Amino acid sequence: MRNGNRQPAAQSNKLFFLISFMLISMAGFTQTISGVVTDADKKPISKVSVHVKGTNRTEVTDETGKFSIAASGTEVLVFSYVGYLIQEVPINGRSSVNVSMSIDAGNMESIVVTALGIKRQPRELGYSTTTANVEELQKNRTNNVMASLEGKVAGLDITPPSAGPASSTKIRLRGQSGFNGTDNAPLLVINGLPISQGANSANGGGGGSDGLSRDGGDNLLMINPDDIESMTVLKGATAAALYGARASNGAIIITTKSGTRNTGIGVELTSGVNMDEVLDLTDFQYEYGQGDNSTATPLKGSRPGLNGVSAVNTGQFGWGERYDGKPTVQFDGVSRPYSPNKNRVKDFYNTGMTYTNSVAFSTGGPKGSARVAYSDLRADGITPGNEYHRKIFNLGLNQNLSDKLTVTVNLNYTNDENKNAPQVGIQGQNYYNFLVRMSPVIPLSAFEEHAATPAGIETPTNSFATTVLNPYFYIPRQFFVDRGDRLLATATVKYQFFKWLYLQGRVNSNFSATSSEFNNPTGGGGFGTANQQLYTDATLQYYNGTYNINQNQNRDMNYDFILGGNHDFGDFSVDLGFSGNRRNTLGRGVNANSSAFVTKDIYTIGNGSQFGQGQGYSKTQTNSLFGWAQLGWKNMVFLNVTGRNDWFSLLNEGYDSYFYPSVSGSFVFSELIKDKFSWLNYGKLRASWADVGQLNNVGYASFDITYSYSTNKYLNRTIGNVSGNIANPKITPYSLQEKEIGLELKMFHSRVTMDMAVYQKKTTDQILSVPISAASGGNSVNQNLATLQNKGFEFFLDVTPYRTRNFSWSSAINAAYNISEVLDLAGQTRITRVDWYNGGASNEFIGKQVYEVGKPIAQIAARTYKRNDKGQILISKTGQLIDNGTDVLFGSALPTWTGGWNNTFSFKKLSLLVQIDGKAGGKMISGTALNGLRQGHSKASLVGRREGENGVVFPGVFDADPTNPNAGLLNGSTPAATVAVFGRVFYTDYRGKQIADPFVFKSDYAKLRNITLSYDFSSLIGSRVKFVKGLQLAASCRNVAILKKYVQDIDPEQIASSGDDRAGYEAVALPTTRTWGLNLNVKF
Amino acid sequence: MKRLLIATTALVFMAGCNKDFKEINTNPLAIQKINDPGMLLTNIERNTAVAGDWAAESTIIQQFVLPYNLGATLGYQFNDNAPGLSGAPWGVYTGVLRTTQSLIDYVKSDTARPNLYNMARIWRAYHYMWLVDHYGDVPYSEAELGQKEGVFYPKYDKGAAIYDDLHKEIKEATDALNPAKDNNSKFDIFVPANATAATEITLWKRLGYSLLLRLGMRYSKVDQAKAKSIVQEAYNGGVMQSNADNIYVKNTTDAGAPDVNYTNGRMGGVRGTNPYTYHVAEPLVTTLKNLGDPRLKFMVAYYSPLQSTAPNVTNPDTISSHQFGFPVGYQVGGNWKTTSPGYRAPTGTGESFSQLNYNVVANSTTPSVIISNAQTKLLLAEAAVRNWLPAGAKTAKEYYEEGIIASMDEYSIFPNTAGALPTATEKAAYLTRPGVAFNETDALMLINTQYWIECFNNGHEGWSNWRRSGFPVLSPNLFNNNLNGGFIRRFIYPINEQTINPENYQAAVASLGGDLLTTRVFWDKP
Repeated sequence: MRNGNRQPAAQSNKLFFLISFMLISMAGFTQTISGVVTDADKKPISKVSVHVKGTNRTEVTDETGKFSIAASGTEVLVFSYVGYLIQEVPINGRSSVNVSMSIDAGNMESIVVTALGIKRQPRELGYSTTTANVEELQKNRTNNVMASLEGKVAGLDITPPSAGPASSTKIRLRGQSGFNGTDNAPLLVINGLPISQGANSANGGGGGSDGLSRDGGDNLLMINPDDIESMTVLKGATAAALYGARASNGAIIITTKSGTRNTGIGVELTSGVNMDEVLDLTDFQYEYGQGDNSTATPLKGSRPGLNGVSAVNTGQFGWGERYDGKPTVQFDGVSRPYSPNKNRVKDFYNTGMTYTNSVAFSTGGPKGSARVAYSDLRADGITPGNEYHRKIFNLGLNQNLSDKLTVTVNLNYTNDENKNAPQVGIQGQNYYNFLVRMSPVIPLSAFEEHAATPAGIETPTNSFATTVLNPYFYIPRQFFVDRGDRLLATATVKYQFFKWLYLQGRVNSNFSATSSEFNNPTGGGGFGTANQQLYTDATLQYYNGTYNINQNQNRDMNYDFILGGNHDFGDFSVDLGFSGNRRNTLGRGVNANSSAFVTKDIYTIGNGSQFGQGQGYSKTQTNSLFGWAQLGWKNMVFLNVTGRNDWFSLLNEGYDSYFYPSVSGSFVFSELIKDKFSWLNYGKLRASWADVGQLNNVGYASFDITYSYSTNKYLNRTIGNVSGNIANPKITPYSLQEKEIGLELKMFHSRVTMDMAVYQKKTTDQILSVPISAASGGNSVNQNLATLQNKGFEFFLDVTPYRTRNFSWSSAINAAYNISEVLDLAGQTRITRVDWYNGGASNEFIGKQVYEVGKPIAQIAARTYKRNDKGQILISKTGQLIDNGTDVLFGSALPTWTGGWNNTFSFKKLSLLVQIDGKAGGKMISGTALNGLRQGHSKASLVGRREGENGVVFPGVFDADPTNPNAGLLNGSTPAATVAVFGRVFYTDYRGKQIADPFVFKSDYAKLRNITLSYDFSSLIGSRVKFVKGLQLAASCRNVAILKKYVQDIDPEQIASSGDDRAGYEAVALPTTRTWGLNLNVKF
Repeated sequence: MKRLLIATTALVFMAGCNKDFKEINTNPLAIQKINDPGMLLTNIERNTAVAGDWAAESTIIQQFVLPYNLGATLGYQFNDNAPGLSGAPWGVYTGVLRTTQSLIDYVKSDTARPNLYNMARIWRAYHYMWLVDHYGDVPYSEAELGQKEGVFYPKYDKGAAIYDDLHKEIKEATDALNPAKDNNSKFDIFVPANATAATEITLWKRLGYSLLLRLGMRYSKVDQAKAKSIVQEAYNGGVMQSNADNIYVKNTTDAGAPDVNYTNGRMGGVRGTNPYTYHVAEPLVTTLKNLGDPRLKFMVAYYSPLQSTAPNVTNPDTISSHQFGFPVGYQVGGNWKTTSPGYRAPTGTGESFSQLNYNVVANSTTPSVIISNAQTKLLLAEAAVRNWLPAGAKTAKEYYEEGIIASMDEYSIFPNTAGALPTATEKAAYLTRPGVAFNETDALMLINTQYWIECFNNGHEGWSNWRRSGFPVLSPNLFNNNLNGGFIRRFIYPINEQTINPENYQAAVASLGGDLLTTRVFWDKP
């Protein structure tokens, strides 16, 4: 189980030598021309294409600007690079050619891939986009590529839950656009294929692929960072407006590699290893041991075995005596020293290991290029038994079939298996829950040795028998496996009728076949003590436990065409496009479960004697027609109008057609004033508006009246039922309108770059399930209601304060502020509960999430202390807490500020990245703090039992309210409370009365997120081993240090869920980790 | 290639409409068409709303007491509104009425199933009577239109207007039942699965006209002419003749064995948690004892010591002299020991008073009698007293005595009564006892007291008939002064309805003249 599987590394070594051998035999041109390409400041430029004119020989410059290419002395070299003027340099018999490239003033910006894969110059855009630095994602790897983007892009709020190596991430652009239950993640567009992020988060009682609060990952896990060619973040609705009803949360456009033309054959190997070091941030008390102090004597608590205190019943309590090392009985009847076992978290969890190996072959000729890549990722999570194995095969191909016809194909196939993803965010089969809630007096070895009774039943360790479960019982007996085969495929055919007119057709498919399988083991305490016996039926002697299997197939097909053209008419440029799209989705699933097993510990359907099963199906079609028109004037002013109409099969006729327009404009004012202000290289003002939408929460085929039959016959007759809820035939997608203005500046030879945006977006007509009069035949129905607003600004500044030939320092700051406000709920409703952390299926600890009109979204709500007019906390005559009787809001769980500071230092071949990032303005409610206090483990629980203290005397005053039967005094006076209460009794009231004051913290933090050091060995090796074109080694450390936080005992990012309803709710997620990584990249 | 591209483009372009959407948005796994709409008849018969809650209707008419005020049990026993109790009858809208309406919509235009259609109409009318009797004005003309027409907040209709339409519906539907048309007995749980159409339709005609008789009698206080006219329509149509015509939901299999999947839902609460907290009320126990009623042993039992296992005791003490009903208007705890007229020291876990006979009337297999021959006979007796029956009808005394005997014989379908049913001698002796023996002067009191006893297991019908007739004369529950010495005459609208459908609710309250427990429905005149 804890074997770090090193096999893939060995395989990769073999591969390495095999390929090396092949390439050595291929190497060798006789005459080589070399040189260095620099810019006007003599700074080397990498990736400049060096092409021998009239041939298919092309090379690119390395990071130091160097190139070497085979050519004869009479040929001509062509140097080209985006943003620079193309230069043709005759060789004239030289063996060394050095070139200085000059900036193309009219085209100094890099190209941006926008919606539908349309490439644009930044000056044309009237909205905000950010292109991610792909190289950084590759050097500083995370299993979910999106986690690496945390803190890098202004307005992109990434929250990776702490839920194992195959976790989803929470991605929000410019806040949360819709209420909980809608898809609030940006649209992912992978090679033109739009897909949802599909976060299958662990959401408390539900969520995850099995509904057992284990993170089921997301669609970004299908992407290997090495395969990414470019990644553009389209932040607002206008940028994504061409996606119509999928545009409301912005979009992330990912293009994978398909080789580069005119580059010849290339091979690239990448090997990486990451080591996850568990961060145990608990700072518990180690003064008092296991025991109880709720009984009358002795006052300060007893250890097990004294005064009737049971070792089993107090396993989870630290209310005992001062540690003294004397033998004391424990849950298993064995006496062990009464002293704490510190570092329990570190001792239990493993060091996580992740090995990534990938190989890519590419080729590029004058008419086309191709790249094929395979990557293998094996991760052993920190949780014992948690293993994640992912294989990705990626193919990119583009070819000119004729002068006018181009074909592009991209395939991305993923096969993955995630074993035993940890349960997080709820009690139960959650190992961390056990570790932080059981008294540290019991060593882990005791739990391991005596996990089960001889009969195979979980040995009771504590009196929270059904919720605090011994991991050592479950590790060998429970399995949970998610498997998936997923294919993303895109084929594009483009025909260029004329230079100014093309027609493109595209088919793309997102196909997945997934399964999940799990059991609940026989004899586990999670069944409840009453059902914990092995036999559910004394006569049949069946074994208890459960087995479940789910299998699903999903297909999402898109067919589209684009008829596009552009032409210049004097000072004017026109770019027009007309497009259509058809999207078909098809989902099928079956699930089966069994229980009451005939043979013990065999979890299959066949071994069961009681069964359940189900079948699911859904099918949708969305048809769309859309187009755009862009008008430019003097390459300085641009106006862009788009419109899209979507038709939805999910909606009723008459309510199924929606039009989504956008308007945006840009004004490159630097063109007007460049003569006066030569330091200003580029200045642009932009403004945009869009009206888009989203269709969520409308079930497949929900309008039909359908029937079902009762399982059991009555008087030998089959009972027919009218099934399903009442549907609202008039339901429509929600609508989102967004306005934005922005400013972009580049100054001082682009050493200072600045981008600012201010936006406001309003979401209306959200689909909410609203109670209706039962006399209508139903209890609730979906209606279009409620309005939510988000507004904020984004700021990005990139400065290169220092740059010489050998050394440069560039420093980029990004910051974003977003504030939401619920403007309206249903009808007269002022407040609505989103989730209840102490109730429902999850039955966790404390608090709720609510929405209240006039307040930011995602408020943490709970009771508070009862206070008098002077604000003094009131205490009952028994010295105990009194709650205020109604929920109060403690603040929004969502941060208002997000940002990062990225510094890159380059010294010759050495590059150092230092990233600091943070969030501020949000609140969190900590279940760990509550449990630590009420169970006597946290340092806060020491109050009331130190020397001279006889219990908790809370600093409050007696309640004099005569209507309160527990009032202290009835004469109206309010003397200070003086009654001492046993700690366990006193602190338990916090949960019982749901008083949350001590457990709500600022979730703000600042972290030294990442340090990456990389060295480019290419030049060192290049001179000796000709066939190696590049060699780079990067060492990184992620989560280096928490610079600032407010919550105790945990990392503020130790959140279990990537969902919206449990934002800000902390309860027993995995401990966070510090990741040490080493990454080697070799190019041939 | 170029042509292919253009062709593909055209194909996608053509898809810019929505012509296949209906087909796409139809789930092939879902059952769009039920095997036979008759299966919905099985459903609505099985799920008929019959008796109401022991703690509600049966408590109002002083047959049952839950004397523990534990907050959660605060309710009608303590003259207080209990949202759970008040809202319960409203549940038929999302349950049986929704299914009934679906069935009606399904077969309305099916010329092959006129009988099924008309049976469903009768069942719909039965349930709207249930609603009007509980609340007064309720949604009717706009009800059940959520799915069909998107009416989520229906208006309320006046109770009198609804009754007028129910009269028409029951009459029309019953008249239209035709033995030459469809036979639904394989779905109809009131008849054997292989019954002929003639058998089924005969039964349903008697059921329909007996229901019409019940509806007609409801007018006795407000419009005697109308009452008489409807009673005559019902009589002429042909009401129930014998106990073989009784309409009831079995809670056993055909063979009479318990059916674990279909038990009597009304008994869940009283048999489930803390059964020792439930008692039979003093007025009923005293009446039965005074009359020497042979039905007492089926209705009342004394369990000693009181305990949670009482429902499992198969031979409880049912001796008449050992029975003591719990006095109405008192609460266990507080000063009830000193103020209660019949205070008895507790034994075991609970108080020393009689309880439901869990073996018979409160068994999980106890049948739910919807409309009985006994009720019908007693209603005819009153109609005869009022001289509303046409010539040729029997006398009031004859109907009265037949009604009592029918009520006693009805226990033959109850569990654990074999060998214990009243003998002919016992029945004859009972009919001559003071307080039972018929006399013209006390006829209405005698008849309706018997109706009250007959309806022990049907709180809804017992309460409605008591509100209509005023008999037996009960002393008001004076636990507090909430009702000003009156009785609960109506249920308060569900709390949800008040907040969800406020405009229509307010209009209904204005029309009713209040939304109180003491507000009267239209046929219940002081």
